[in-house]
Amino acid sequence: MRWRTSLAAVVLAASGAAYAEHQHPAPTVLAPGYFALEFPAPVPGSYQLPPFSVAADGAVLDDSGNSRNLYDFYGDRVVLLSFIYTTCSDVNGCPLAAYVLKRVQDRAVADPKMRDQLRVVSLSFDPQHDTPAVMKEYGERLRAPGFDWTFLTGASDAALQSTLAAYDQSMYRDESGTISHILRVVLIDKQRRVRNIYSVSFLHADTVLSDVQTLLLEPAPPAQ
Amino acid sequence: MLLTGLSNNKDHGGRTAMVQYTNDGEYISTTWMPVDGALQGAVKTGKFADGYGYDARALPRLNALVTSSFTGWNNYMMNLGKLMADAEAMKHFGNTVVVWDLHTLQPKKIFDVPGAPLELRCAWGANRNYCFTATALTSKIWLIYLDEAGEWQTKAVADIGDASKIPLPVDISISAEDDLLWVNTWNDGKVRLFDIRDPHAPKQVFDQQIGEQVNMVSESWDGKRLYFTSSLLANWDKTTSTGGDLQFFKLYSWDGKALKPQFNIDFVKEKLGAPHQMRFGAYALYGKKAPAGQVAQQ
Repeated sequence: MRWRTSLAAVVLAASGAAYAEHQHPAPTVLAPGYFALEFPAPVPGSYQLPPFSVAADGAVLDDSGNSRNLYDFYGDRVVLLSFIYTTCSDVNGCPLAAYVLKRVQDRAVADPKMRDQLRVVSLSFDPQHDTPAVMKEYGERLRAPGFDWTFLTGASDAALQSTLAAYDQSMYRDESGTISHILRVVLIDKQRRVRNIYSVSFLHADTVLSDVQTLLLEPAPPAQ
Repeated sequence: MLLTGLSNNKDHGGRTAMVQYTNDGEYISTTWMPVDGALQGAVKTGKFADGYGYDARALPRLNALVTSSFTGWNNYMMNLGKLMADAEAMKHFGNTVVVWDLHTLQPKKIFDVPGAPLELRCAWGANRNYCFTATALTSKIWLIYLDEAGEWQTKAVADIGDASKIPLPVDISISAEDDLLWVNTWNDGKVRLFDIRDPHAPKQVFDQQIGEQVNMVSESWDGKRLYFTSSLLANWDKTTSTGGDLQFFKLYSWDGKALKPQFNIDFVKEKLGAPHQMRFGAYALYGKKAPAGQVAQQ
């Protein structure tokens, strides 16, 4: 399937992934998120997304190096939280997240309601490499003008540990320094509740957008 | 986590549900199986919409969740001999397979699959749009498949032994290449192997006695090892041994022609109870080891 391999190369280039040291073996099957959805996307508002849990707060650094909390970015908008690291070379890992979220962005910037009520947050779990400056440069390659895509990192591995645990985001470095992780993108509503979690088999721009729109169609909760 | 139910605590009948929990075990939601009067938008394609549940398998690429149907607490807590002789009780078994919208957890189509379809296994291949189930009481393999028009369909595709002798198909295991399907029959203690390269026409190519009863079968990814356990349900298991081979956990090797015993743990002799479910999801099977102090998650 040469065209799929070519697509993988394009994706890696587009996402800025370093595809050199610690290469993962090329997967024989690319994730569904790279292709047209094989089924009709769910109709927004026609289904329920029951809340899973309260989304956790955590100490982070923004791309200028300022100390921030995740909760600074929750509450005013629906949030897609993506755990990444910029040197990830597994095409069905972080590059897939970048590819899908970029497609979400492309659609959202054309829809004022979504553009103004959706925020994407990419949080690196590799603060050793992904300094605020690296995240700034990485973000500039992905973010479209007028869209709220925020790039964050941690002060250290230790500073991120409780946040990763709270979101059930597994990752570890092996003896060679290679990071292994399981792809997760988390959908968080304006009440800071987790409403969906997308893994490699489920992360697709069309379904993510249906879910975002479903949340935006929900009636506002009564004032406290 | 999506957990399937077998029954309910109101009438202990077969009406049941699927329940979602977080990985921490916190309750999220309950999704009842569709039943006459509460089809939840599903199309009832045959005579039954019985609300029973058993197994669930997903094909995420197709946004499909498939569920099967067994029976309720009133039946599975009854002694098997007594149950089989109770004509009224025998009417209370599932006769349906339901195809759901996986993303929305809404039932789409309810199919008649008579005789308690239990285990479901879906093809692994990226372009293979089908699953199998085996019916316990009617002893058949059924195919659940997406047709050329993009519609889900079901059909019986093979017999498993002689249904009149009640071999009672239980667990099934599909090979990584989607070419073979192992089928255990609990009552006669046999495993049968079907060639499923044409999923619409499986052909039995092998069979072997495993024990006096056999329930679960689990094969390694390379297909060279098969593990078997014996216990179906505490109230249904055979208790009188005729050959000292009643409750066990066994490993066989498979070379494409013969199953050869590798080990056998006699659970009666070792006083270990009744072995049932097997899970081989250890990280070590992937060839890597988590660093000390860190727990790998799969």
